[in-house]
Amino acid sequence: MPGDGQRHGMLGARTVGHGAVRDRRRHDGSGRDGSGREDGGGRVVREATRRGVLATVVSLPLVATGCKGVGALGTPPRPQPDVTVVRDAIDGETLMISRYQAVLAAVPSLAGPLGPLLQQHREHLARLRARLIEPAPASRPAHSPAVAASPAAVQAPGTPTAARAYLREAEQAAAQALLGRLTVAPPSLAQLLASIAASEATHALLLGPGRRAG
Amino acid sequence: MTAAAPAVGALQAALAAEHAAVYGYGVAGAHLSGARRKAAAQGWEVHEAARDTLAAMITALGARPVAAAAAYRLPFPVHGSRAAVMLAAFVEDRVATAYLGVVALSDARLRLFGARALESAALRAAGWRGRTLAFPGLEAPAPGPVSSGPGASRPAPSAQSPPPAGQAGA
Repeated sequence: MPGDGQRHGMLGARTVGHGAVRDRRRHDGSGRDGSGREDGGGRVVREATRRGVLATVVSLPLVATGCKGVGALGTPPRPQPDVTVVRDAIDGETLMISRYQAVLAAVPSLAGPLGPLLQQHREHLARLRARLIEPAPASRPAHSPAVAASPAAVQAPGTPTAARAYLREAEQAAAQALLGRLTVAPPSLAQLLASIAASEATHALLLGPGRRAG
Repeated sequence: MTAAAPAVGALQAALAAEHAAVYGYGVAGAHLSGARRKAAAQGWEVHEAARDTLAAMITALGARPVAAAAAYRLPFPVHGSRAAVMLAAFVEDRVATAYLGVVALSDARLRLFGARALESAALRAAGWRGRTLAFPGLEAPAPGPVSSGPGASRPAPSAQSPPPAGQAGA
């Protein structure tokens, strides 16, 4: 990539510049150990050199970047579109898991039918996470899910019928959200998203009235 | 149009799966009765409509739609209702997988068309099977008459799964 080459060029120029400064100062320091006159002369030499070094430091990066501007170095790389898609899908699955957990906490009698569906959401989440190579937490850009995904933050209905309707709507919305991201994903990720969306649509079907989930 | 070549290949694969599904539902329906026979008849119609839609799309792309085989080898013997239900679920799994190929296309409309058809197939499969899969189309369970499940006693859904023909528009 031409951008990489330019960045390396800039970094190289700076390194040389700083290195030159350091070398000169060491030399000046050894001169200062001698007589007072040498000390004064050394200062003149040092200032002249500093100007030269500054000129080198300032001019080389501009040449190397083609006057692109010094700010280019400080710009953090933007996440690829598919990274954003995967992160959004991960947030969606995390939220679905939280909803199931909240429902199961409120209506434990639904554990039988909901267990397999919750397990499939965990499989979705694992598969999506495997798609994402996370940078170290410190360097990762801030990314906060739209909704806090912890069971405590999710308000679940307290009756089996209402809980099933609540999860059914959530499944339908989750499937729709995945389909909405389909066209911005690369092919293999699009296949995974479509498959998960289909799975969630089947969850909604089994959660529907008159059917037994699980 | 060179961009049409991958689309034709994926649509032909989906069409081949639809041909097989029409055949499979014909076999399954013969071993079913009551609500499940009706559900099989609906499935048969849905796949016939999807077959015609795909054939029209392929023709519009300048290619010749693949023909159905005279007969298909069944994945397991079908002599009773339980195996018939599993056959219906099996053909839906196959159809779902075929539409994943359409989802991989770069054309946004075809991608969504494939995703909706995949969803419809997954819904019908879940209706027959009585349980859901984590990754419809991507990972299919092994074919074969399986242990007793609620699917064997409940009719397949016809609601919530609009036939692909409804969204196609070629």
